This record gives sequence, structure tokens and C-alpha cells, in this order.
Amino acid sequence: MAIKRIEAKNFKSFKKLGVNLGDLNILIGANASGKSNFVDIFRFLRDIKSSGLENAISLQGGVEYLRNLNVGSSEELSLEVVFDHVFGINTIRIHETIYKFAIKFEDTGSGFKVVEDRLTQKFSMSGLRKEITGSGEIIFSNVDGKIGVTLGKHSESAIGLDGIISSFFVPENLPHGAFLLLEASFPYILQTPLNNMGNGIPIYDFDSRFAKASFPDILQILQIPLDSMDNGIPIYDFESRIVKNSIPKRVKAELEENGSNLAVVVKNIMESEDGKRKLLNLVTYLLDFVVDLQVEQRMDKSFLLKLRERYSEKYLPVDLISDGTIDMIALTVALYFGKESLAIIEEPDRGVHPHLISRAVHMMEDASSNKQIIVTTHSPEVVKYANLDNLLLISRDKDGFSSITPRPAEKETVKIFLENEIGIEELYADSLLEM
Amino acid sequence: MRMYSRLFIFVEGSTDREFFEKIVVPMFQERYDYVKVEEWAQERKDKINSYIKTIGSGNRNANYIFVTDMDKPCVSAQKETIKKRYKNVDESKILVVCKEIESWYLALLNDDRCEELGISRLHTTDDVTKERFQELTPKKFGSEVDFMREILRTADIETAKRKNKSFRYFVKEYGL
Repeated sequence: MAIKRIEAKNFKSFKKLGVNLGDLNILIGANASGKSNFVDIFRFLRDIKSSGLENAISLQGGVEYLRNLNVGSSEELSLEVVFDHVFGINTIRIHETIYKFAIKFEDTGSGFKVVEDRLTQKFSMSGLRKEITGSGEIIFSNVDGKIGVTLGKHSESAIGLDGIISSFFVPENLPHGAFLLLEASFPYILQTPLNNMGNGIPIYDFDSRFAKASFPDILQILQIPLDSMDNGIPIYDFESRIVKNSIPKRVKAELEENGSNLAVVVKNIMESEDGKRKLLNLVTYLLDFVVDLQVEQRMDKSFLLKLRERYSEKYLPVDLISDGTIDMIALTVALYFGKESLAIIEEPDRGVHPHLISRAVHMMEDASSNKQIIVTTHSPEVVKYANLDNLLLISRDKDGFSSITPRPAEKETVKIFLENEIGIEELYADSLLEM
Repeated sequence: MRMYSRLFIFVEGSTDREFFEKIVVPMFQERYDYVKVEEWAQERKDKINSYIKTIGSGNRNANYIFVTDMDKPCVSAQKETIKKRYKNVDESKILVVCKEIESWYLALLNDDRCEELGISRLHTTDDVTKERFQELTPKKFGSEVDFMREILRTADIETAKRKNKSFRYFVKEYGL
């Protein structure tokens, strides 16, 4: 899992939000309940990282539309993201990273100030026999561009801050306009843990994704585990008409959020034997009338996706393939072939026959063992086939604020309906899950 | 003139449906004009009961099989559980897969294929559960769906009859 919890205050339709996430998260709710606003939390964080705060706010429509329209400037806007990647070595291991960001608005106008930019890394320390010898948290904070490092809550046995991280290696200042969210790594030193462990020889268990060791210098670089941010958080919203009309030539290798470069991505996947096998196995599972996929390079160097159905020996070009079929191929690619550790997919069920939905949901569950997935949907069929633990119901209260209820099927009032053989998808379609 | 005949196969979920559509439906195609696989686990009880009632109500040209995993200690207890939930199901139409459909998938792999895929050869798959199947899935697949599809692509039905008792029983019972 990449992100295990999200908290937000005064962000769009949310006055106060706190929700735990799992490997697969199926966000359901009526129109205008706040599904898109929830997705905008990820979009906003991603945009801060890729384009800076000013642009990220502008992309959300400006401060007026970034914060809640009713709460306005009276309260701070804050976002908190809890990452649960475990990384490190036997002696010191980071098991949770929390990033918090808050801005305060001026009473009038569109002015604002960043009042909190803080990264907290919770760690545990262990001895030679892997017994826990201490725990605590290191807090990096950015105050007006200056980085401060402090040891937060910690057990008595935890070693001092100087033994874990050297201020020598942490830059004093952030570049102008930068935030801790943008920082890729802070170096941790290991000498004190070694000293603390007596004369034994430590056994290192480096996690190659995050750690680079230069033994015997006993210095390693531990990256802040925001790799879900580093690779971007794709927010897919496939537009089959764009896929049909696009003539991809020079395009990026990763799938575009609207699927426009699908032909090129499929071509790249099918260049390897394993990739071809996997893609065809998955696509033909979802679309049992499909026999083969092909990508043809045309005279003008563009690529054309083609598909063969079991009813004919001939391949159909992309513009003759149904919208739902294109969307399902794009969904397969997004679920299984992207490098990112978190993917958000908006309404993947659009244009799909209900009979295929159970397979699509099964594929989402299957893919979520390797990648965290957030899906938004209106479809009762998705609700019907989903594992009830994966459902997140979003709704508006009488004041218009959005809230998220995880596992709505566990609500006592809903349970009674379910016990009386009324399906959860029917309750959802009748807007009765909110009661 | 032979009348148009239909067979409905009720299965628990999508992995069962995939197995039956790819392996079992072709085996029935000589005998029935229309074979349809339906999932029952996520459907309402009364809907499935009504389907079965309709199929079984004096319609001589329609038949059904109700497939279930072995969640109980024995076949008769499992059939009893199904009958209790779906009162219109005829006990003789219930087919119990031992223990779960994953055991039927693995049974389709002959020794050569096991070697090619890099998984241990199993003499029998009667005790294979979903969890065991996941353990046996070669790392290069990284997806259960991909692995299952790969098994179905080169399925060896004769091997499956040999390796799995409940599959063997099913094939014999229906004269396939």
C-alpha cells in the first residue's frame, strides 16, 4: 500500500475529513457528493510537487474554490497524508511517514501563507536479534524556508537525534518556494546505533528501493517514501473518442490519463514476450470475444491499435472498436502496467455491459496486490461485485459538507436491509446507504 | 426435429465462471444449443431461486447445474447448506468442487507444463485451496488472473481427470 490515511480540513466540499485507505478503494456516491473533490486532494498534492504551490492552487480554480465555499478564509486549509512504506535497515527502520501541509488565508482577497510544512518519520530501532530497542519520531519542519530537525515523541531507550540523523547532511534551507513534499531524500547516519549495540557485528538488511549504503562509511541515504508522488499519481479518466482520433507519434511511454497514447503503450508492452502474454491474458479475460491485439506503424510513423475478434480473421482498427472495449483495454494497462504505486481511475465502468463488471472488479482486486488503487464509480454493478470492505461511501450532510463512510455495509441500519435480502447495490441505487 | 435445448450452469464467482466458460461449456456444446454460465454468490437469494424454479418448471429442454466449493467437511453437508439457502435447487443438480475451483485450475497442468511454468508437479490437487494456489503461482506472473488464463490456454483435460477427484466425478457423472 502507498498511502494509508488522508486527512483534510477546509478543502473544497470537505470541512473535516479523515479516512483510512486500503489496497483497493472503491469510492461510491451520488452526483456532487464530493468524489471528484476527494480525487482533487491527490491532484493538488501532485500538482504542488510537479508545478509548485501557486500553480497547483490556480489549477484548482484559485483559493476561492480550493477552500470550502462556506468556511471560506475563517479556517486554515490543511492536508495530511500518511505513507506506510517500511524501509531502512535492521538497526533503524522507518515504518510510517506523515506529511502535513497547511495554509492560512488572508481575510480578504486571494492572499495566503503556508503555516505548516512538516514531515514526520516514525522509526523503530532494533538490536542484533531484531529485538526492538527503542522507537520515536523525527520531525522535519519548514519554517519560512529554513529546515528544522527535531526528535519528537520517543521511548526512553531511543538514542538521541544526533545518532540518527546528522544536521550536517540536512540542508539548512529549502530552495525558494519549495516544500518538504518536494524533497527526495534526507541522509541518516548509523554510527550511533552501531555503537549502541556493543561489540556485535550488525547484519544489514538493506531495502534497495530506498537505501544506498556505502559500507564501511556507515552512511546511508534513506529516501522519504513518497515514491507514489515521485512517479506521479495518475488520475485516469479514459476518453475512448480521443483514443480513436489520436494519431500517436512522439508521445510518452506511460499511459496518458485520457488514454490517448494507448496504441504506443500497447506496442511497448507487446515488444516483450512476457508483456505480450500478460496483456493478452488479461484483456481476453475481461473481453472474451477478443483474440489478439496488434499495433501497426503507418507510413506517417504514427501507430494504430488493432484488435481481432473471435468472429473473424480480420483485425479491426481502433476507430471501429467500441468505446467500452477501448476503455477496458486502457483499464487493463492502467491496472497492471504502470510503474506508479498508486493509481486513481475515474468511472472505469462507463460503457461496460453489466456482465463484464464482475471481471473488471476481480481484476481491480487482483491488481491491487501490487499497486494501491482508488476507483470512483456510480455503478451499482461495481458495488454488487466489490468486496464490501473495499467500499467508501461519500455523501453530503445537511450543511453541504462531504464525509466518507468506510464499509457502509457495516452500518447497523444497512445491515438490517442486507439481512432481509436486499442487495447492497439496490440500497446504493436507491440512495439508502446514506441513512 | 430436436428441440432447442439450454443448459444453465450456476457458479460462485468470476474465477469459477472463467473455468466453466473456457473448459466446461465446450464439452457440453454437442449436447445443448445454448449453454450459459451465471454467477450466484453476489445475487439475491430469491433471484437465484426464481431462475432455478423457471428453468426446472416443466421445461424439458432446459437443465441446470449448481456448482459450489466445498466449504463444509463433507459433500452431503455442503449440499445441505446450498439446499437450505436455495430451496428450489434439486440436490442431484448440485456439483461440489473439492475444495475450491483453484484445485481444478491446477489439475489442468500436465508435467511438461508444470516444468515450463516452474511450479512443482502435484500428484493430486484435491486439497488445493485458494491460498495454496496463490503460494504456487510463479513470481513472474504477479497476477492470479494472468496465471489462471495461462493455465486455461494449454489446458490438459485428461490430466485434470487424473489429478482431481471431483473433476473426474463431474466428467463421469455428465458423461463428458
